[in-house]
Amino acid sequence: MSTAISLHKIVKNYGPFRALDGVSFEVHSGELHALLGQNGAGKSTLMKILYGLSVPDSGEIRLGDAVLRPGSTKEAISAGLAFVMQHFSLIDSMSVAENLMLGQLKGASYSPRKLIASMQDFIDRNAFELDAAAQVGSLSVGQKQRVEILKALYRNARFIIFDEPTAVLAPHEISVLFATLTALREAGIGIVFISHKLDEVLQVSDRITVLRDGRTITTVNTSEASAAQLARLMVGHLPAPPPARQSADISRSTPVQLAVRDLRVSREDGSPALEEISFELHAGEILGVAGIDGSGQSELAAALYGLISPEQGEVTACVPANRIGLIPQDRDEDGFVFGFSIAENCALDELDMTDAGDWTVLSPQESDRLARERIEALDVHCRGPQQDVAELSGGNRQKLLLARVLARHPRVLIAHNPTWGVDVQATALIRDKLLRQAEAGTAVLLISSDLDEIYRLCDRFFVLFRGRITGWGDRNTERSRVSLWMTGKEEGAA
Amino acid sequence: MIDFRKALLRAAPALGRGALSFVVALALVALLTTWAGYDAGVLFHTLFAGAAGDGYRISESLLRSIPLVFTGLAVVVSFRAGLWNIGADGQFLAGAMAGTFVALHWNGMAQVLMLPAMFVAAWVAGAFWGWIAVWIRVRREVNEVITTIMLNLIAVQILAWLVHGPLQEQAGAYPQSDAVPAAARLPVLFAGLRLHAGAIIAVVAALLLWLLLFRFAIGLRLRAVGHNPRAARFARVALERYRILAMLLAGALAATGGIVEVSGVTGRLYENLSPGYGFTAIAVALIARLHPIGVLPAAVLFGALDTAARALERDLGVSPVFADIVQAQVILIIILLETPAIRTRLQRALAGVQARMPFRGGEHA
Amino acid sequence: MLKNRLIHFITVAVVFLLSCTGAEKHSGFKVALLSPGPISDAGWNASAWEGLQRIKSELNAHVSQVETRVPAEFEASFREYGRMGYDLVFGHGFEFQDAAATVAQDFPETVFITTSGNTVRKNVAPMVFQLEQATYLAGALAALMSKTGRIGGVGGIKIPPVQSTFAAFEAGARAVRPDIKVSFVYIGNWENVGAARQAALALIDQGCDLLIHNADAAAAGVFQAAAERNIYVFGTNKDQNTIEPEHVLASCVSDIPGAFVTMAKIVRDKKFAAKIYRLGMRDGIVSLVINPRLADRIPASARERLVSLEQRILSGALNVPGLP
Repeated sequence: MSTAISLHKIVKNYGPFRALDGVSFEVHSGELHALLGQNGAGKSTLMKILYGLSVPDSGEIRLGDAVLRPGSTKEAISAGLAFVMQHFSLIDSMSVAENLMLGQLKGASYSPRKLIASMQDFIDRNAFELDAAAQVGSLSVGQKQRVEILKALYRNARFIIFDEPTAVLAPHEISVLFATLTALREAGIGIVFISHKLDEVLQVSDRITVLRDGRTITTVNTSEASAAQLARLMVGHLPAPPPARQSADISRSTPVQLAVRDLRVSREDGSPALEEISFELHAGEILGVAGIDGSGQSELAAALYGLISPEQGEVTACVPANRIGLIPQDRDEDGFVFGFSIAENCALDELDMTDAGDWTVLSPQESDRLARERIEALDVHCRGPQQDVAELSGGNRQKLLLARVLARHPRVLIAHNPTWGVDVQATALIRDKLLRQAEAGTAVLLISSDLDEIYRLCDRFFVLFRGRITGWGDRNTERSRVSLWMTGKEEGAA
Repeated sequence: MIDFRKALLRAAPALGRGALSFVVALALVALLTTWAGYDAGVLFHTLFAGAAGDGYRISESLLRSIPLVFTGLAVVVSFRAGLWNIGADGQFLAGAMAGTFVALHWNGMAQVLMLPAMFVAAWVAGAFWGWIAVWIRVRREVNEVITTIMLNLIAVQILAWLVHGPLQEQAGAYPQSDAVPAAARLPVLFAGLRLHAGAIIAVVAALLLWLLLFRFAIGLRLRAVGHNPRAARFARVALERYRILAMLLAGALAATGGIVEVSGVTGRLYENLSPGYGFTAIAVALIARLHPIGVLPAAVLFGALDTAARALERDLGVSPVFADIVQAQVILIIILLETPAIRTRLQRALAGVQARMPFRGGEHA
Repeated sequence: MLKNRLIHFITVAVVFLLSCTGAEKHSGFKVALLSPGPISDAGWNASAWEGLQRIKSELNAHVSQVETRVPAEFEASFREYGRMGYDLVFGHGFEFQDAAATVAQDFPETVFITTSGNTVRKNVAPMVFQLEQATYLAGALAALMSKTGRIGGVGGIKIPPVQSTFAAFEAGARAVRPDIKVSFVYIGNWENVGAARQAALALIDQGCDLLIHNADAAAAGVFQAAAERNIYVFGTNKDQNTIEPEHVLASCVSDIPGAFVTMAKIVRDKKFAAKIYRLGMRDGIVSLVINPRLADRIPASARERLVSLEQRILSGALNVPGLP
């Protein structure tokens, strides 16, 4: 008889931000259930609650009919749950066998030789190709992931959650993983597969639950789903908003501020991140970059901002480097120095903006004044310029970051998911600022995985898929076509 | 002057916490010494009288802290830039060797030229010693912990070679250099006391480093590189440039300590010129929470503990090993009380006390 | 004003505390020792400590000791003892000379004595041990006993005090056997037992059948090598005859504790003079101590030769070369 582990009407708030709003989800043994959604949709939060890493504000977790105590990893594990995270919890300096045994060791000593022999037996029985004696540090990422899966199996897990398991893998390793997943399912193990990649989900899952903005949008059988339909569900299809801007073709008549020609950028491992990217960004326009996350957007932003040099092609900026503003996607890592005060963070880009030399004197009064200007400009809630930025909420940090970038009086503004993980009011404020910038003549490049945002703000946009432009559109382009471009179905420019 | 008072007010919680840690440390030491069979009262009296009983002893305690200030500042500036510089010892010795070499080689120079020449030589040598480590890090991505430790060993060996070879005293009897000429000696500050002008240089160095780190663009960028290199990169800060600068500066600071020790105290090079100042400096810098001004009291604490430990041996016949244990205990307990987890708990407890007091200071929460 | 009062209060408190516990009153002779390392080292520092303890018991003196590790501490500790009215302060090493000379000016009532060194002031003097007298005799004995005509020595760091003991060893050997071949090896430190053993084995492989050392703690390696290859060796600095009783033929001994007592007596009896105190065989401080278990292996002729050389040294007729 198939049992199920399930979540019922889970609500989780982070401060004023509602991350999960009454979400229900279940997975049966012997089922591969995909949890699909954009970044920030609440997928990981939901699974952390299931695994007891996070406590929900309300709602229930059940194994069959028994209710599990929320926030208890111990109970989750004894219920047969395992969690294979993106960052593996393996000890590099130990052998595969030792890693498998960790936490299971009875008694004070063990014989390494016997351990390796018995673990090799266990690995072989599960038809995994791994050497039990190998040191984990010497394994490839895919092999490490298999060690994680084996760890789960060794603990007799009946349900395994995979958090974006393909994100770290090379293409050939992905097919190995999918074969493994299929085998696990056949063995009666229930699998949750968290992903934002449509094609993968369609390829391996039995059922798909789409999550958007902390709500369950739908659960469908994979055999009845289509990529275009899922893409629309994922990114939302609110009624097209009233055009915020009249001057839709302003771009044709204004000067080019940033020109990209045949850009090619590689990742550290040599795989292509961007290929054959060409476009021109005009003063006063908002150009959108749509696409599923991880299609090369981060590399595009970094290349345009001059942080990585292109392998081929060129980026020509018609404005001085310090008049290009960037709102990075990972605002906490790239946008702020935690441990520094608001004033110090503001001073850091003020110095860049004014091309200040190393021996420029920093006056505390002047830094405070600048910081206050930024704080007031976007209504950042804080105790004052001397507060550590780490203490601000995500939304306030984003507002502060935008204020800092705007203080540059940028002539080119690159914004990468600027409203990601930000509450409704801050989102509205940020969008308004972007529009005003464009009206004032700034060339804005809006990189967003939120299609609504693209439609609402952009004069025109292109879609990235696996580092290539798969289509060009504008407000009048049908969303179904855009959904296809986002899944790699190439088509000429609109 | 209002500014100064404000600064004092801002520093008050840190100072209060420091004092509290010190008191707790002493209480625990009292407990342990009583358990070890010593009379805690006599022991404490000897400790305090030994470290600060009169002008001479205060002067000695300060004297012992001078090399720790310089090496401590070196650790501060490199750690602030995110570089784990374990090599302040080697940089200290590099400065001592280069400065002494200049003093012995051009021993006819007038004092107005001699001292600056010695210091410049020390700075160049120390900065070079720091640069080697950061250059290997920047070019070859070799962890600076390893290279700085290796460079310490190399500096010790070069010093040994110098005092057995090229710089050995003319008499050739013992492994030490000749005494540097009088023009190469730093003047003492008070007649009859050994405290020399190096103390002033140390205070000035701390103030200058504070200005540099907190009042100039270079310092803000250097700290940003150490705190979050990714964000620094997004603010178009050239990471390598500031890492190199930090190590040059660290090397020069530690080297100043080396030449000040020779010029102010020993007058010659010996093999055991540094008993590991560069390592103690790490504890000094961490207790100072990587703040240049904080290095001053932290170094004085270590210097005072050193003179106090000698007093324990001298006056009570306490074994030097036990004196070292007392010294280490005080340091350990202070570090323990400064660890974030315990500190927040302490702060909460203090806040609880504060809440019950009729007048509450500070800004709104 | 508040600050002044605070300082005043602290001063009063300190003075009060000082007078409460009070420095104990010592009417007698007070002697102090500055050691450059731990007195538990079973070597250089331990022998000084032993001397201090003998001064305490034999002269009924009050004694005190500090371990000074860095040059900065030397002067401070000398000064502290001067201020406390000590009659005699030992600095156990040449490195104490400068500090002693500086401090001595301010404390004319205190005598400062360094172990080795060459700095002499009105109340500063070094005591040097004429260990060369013993190594000279050891060299002579080695040459008389050698079957291969080749002898050697393993040194720690190549410094003059070590070189001179070896020079005397060689001179003693040549005095009785002009064609003897003598070689010395320095290992560059005082601790590396393994290196000392390798050096000794290398010398033995070259044909040396008697070895001397001056390598402090590293000498253990020389003794090991001697035991492995069954040859005779000489101990130095102290009586090491019992370390390898079948292989240590004799030890060149400086009685450091005895020297401390000798110097303390001189100072107590107000006979101190500003000069280098050379302590040797005639003072009973330096001697060649034959291992009693091996005494019968020394031929009578060799023994006679040794006794006559010793007599000539004691009478002053023979000046051992290489002496400081």
